[in-house]
Amino acid sequence: MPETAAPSKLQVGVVYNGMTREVHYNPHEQGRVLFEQACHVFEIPEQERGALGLFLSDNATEVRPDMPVEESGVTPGSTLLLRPREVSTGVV
Amino acid sequence: MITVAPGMLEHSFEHLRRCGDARRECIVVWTGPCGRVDYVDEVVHPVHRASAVHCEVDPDWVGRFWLDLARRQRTARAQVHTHPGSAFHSDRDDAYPLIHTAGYVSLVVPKFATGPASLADVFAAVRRDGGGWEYCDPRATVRIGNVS
Repeated sequence: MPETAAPSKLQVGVVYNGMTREVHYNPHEQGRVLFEQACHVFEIPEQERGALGLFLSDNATEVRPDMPVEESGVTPGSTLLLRPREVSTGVV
Repeated sequence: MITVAPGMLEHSFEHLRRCGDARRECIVVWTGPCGRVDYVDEVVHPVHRASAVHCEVDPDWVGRFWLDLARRQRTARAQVHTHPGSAFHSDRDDAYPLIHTAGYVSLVVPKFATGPASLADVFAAVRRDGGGWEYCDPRATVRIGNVS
């Protein structure tokens, strides 16, 4: 019987609020899986996650939740930014 | 409770007054070294646009801020912003803070920070463990002083 290689887990660095954590991912999984893993690592409560997005190191391209991670441009060893899409205050 | 280095509150009010000019909201962020989780010793003035009733931080600035904090091994612990009238946490203040993790402090200063630089009329909220905010006595949330 031929041997089959287990799906490899790759690694990226994710920065949130000045802290960097290593997060493992599979290049074929959806972006939302990597996003949820990053939120879990930084202990962001589930009800708060909708305000955040995961961005490539260009700080502009968001890792699409509905697309395989590798198709969003995530590469092993790269640095991603987990940040709010909007920061605002006001009485209205 | 977070401990705020002496002079930080006054420095923050100066930023809020000068930038807001008694006619626009403004925001500053307090940061501290990673090794001292309850201590802040730096005031950061984000890139933002504002009106009398609204203030929005540049999202691109946030990403650059994350990387700058990482390089200097610091984190954001609190934000301080102004309101035109009374101090309270609006729905927007609840929904769109800089930080979404437990322990983060949000202070709201009334009347565009034109009053004395003190905690007397400030509104305080702290991020809860499971999300959302707990509204607190500002003097029980912020302590002015040094840490050993």
